[in-house]
Amino acid sequence: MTTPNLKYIRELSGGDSEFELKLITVLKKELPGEKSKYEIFFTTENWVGAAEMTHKIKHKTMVLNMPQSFAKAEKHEDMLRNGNTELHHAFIAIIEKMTTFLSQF
Amino acid sequence: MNCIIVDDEETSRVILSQLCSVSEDLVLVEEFPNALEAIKFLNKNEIDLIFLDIHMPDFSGFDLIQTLKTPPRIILTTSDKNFALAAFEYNCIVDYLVKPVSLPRFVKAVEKARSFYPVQPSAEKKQAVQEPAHSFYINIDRRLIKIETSSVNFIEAKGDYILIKTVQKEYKVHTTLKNIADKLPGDLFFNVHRSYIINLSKIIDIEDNSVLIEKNVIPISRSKKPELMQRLNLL
Repeated sequence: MTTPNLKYIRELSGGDSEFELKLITVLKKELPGEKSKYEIFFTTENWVGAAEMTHKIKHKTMVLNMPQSFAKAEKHEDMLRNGNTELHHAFIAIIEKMTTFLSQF
Repeated sequence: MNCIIVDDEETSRVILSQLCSVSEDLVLVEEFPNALEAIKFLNKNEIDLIFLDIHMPDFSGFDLIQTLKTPPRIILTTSDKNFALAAFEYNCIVDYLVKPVSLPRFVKAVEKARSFYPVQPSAEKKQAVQEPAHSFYINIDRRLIKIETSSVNFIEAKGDYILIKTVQKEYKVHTTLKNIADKLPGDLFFNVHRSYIINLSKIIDIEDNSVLIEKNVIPISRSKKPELMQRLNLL
């Protein structure tokens, strides 16, 4: 699993720290809600719903420059659409890692 | 160029908004978290370019494009590479950006949009575009409801709104009879009176200057009767 970092956000901001903070704040706000929805869909075996949430969260892995995690999330999304939950725990670990990283800001 | 962003993810909207701010002569007019709000806005405002997410709940980016009669230039934004082929189906789509979008790639897409003029569809395609659809959408309480044209019995004008009477239900829509007539297949529907458009296949009988559809008696304008009679498969 790749370590989250601010490489992409810094490239995008061009040194605008206000924008960096704004984006991080939005990530911190959106991610827990998406994780909760994902867990509800997963618990209720709504695989399409869980795949939709995975789709949203996978974009955030790339915002935090985690290409390997993105690849895993993408695979998880595809597998969920076929009712395969094999990568669920790995995906949760990715979310936890992102959450921990974001919590320092 | 003025533009709008349509994306249900706030993270994406913040990123695209930042990219717009660094692009010369690109004015971000509005951002929308869903397609329905964007459609309402587009019905009242002229926009040069839309940054449009494909993957949105209930109403996707492609659904939005299909509801627009003359869509502006569109740059699709998505985390999926799999929709690229579908994007080529639409003349209005200028480019396809995979999220998260980098500044150089964004600039390139905007450049394409700037120099983009929709390719005139070939004669064959043009004919297909002008063919009336088998269904249309109506806006009821912020929901777009799909109506199959074959399910419509008749449509009645009532002041500044119309009543669409289908086999199942009745819908009240704020539009004109003329607007709805443009959406209906001419071979199936007929403007039998200035306040009525009827589905010819639903006529039960015709007596004097009225037609019966289900239990509804609909008047026929004197001037329209000869044309109506011509359209019927009389013995």
